[in-house]
Amino acid sequence: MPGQEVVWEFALDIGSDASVFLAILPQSVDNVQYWAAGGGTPPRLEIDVR
Amino acid sequence: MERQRWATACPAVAALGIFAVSLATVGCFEPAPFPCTSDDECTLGRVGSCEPEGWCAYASSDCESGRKFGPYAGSESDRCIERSPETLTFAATLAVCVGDASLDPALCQQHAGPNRLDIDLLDSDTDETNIAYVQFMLEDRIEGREIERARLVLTVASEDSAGSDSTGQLVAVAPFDAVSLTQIVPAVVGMPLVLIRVL
Repeated sequence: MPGQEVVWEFALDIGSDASVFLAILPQSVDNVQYWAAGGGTPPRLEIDVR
Repeated sequence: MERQRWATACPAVAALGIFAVSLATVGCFEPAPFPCTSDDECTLGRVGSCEPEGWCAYASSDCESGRKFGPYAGSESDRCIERSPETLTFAATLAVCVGDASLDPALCQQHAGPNRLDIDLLDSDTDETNIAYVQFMLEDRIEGREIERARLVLTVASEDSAGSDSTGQLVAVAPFDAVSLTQIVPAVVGMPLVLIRVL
């Protein structure tokens, strides 16, 4: 359903260049478009810090 | 009361009973505050951090947060730092590199469009698996901060999407190089995927 958020929570391991690179492997996903061409909400990374 | 505290803190000086000396020894119980502006200034025998309050803080097993202000933090001295976690948000700087481009970081960067993210076990057009790649540049925003947890949040965009939230597996690719990228390219459909590290 459009607008539905899918969230993965994980332990963050920061690379030496202060970047995070992730791959999402489909397992049983059938053509899910998360970020449509020309619009939509960009993927975002949320980090809780103290 | 004040005299009693003073006497407890500095018994040798108290025994002298000399008022002038007592003035000179105020430092016995109230160290002069030492405000900071950078972590470099917080080196009280160990590495510390300059907190937003402008005082140095150090690791401490006495505190739930694991940190407390140092002895020269004015009224905050030796107090545990207890602040609510703050959530920092980063937008993806790179998303999606498919096909051959996924095997070369430079091409991946070049071909990645900041406007599309498909995940598909079997693309009906190409008979290939579409893996989604996303990259975030953190710069120095979390430098010196303690990370509690992280979340990748995707928003379903297409009406045609199946919209499942339980059928993808998140994998960290580190470092972002050709070898690591190659390892997460799936085997022929039906074969096990080779994973680097499942999050």
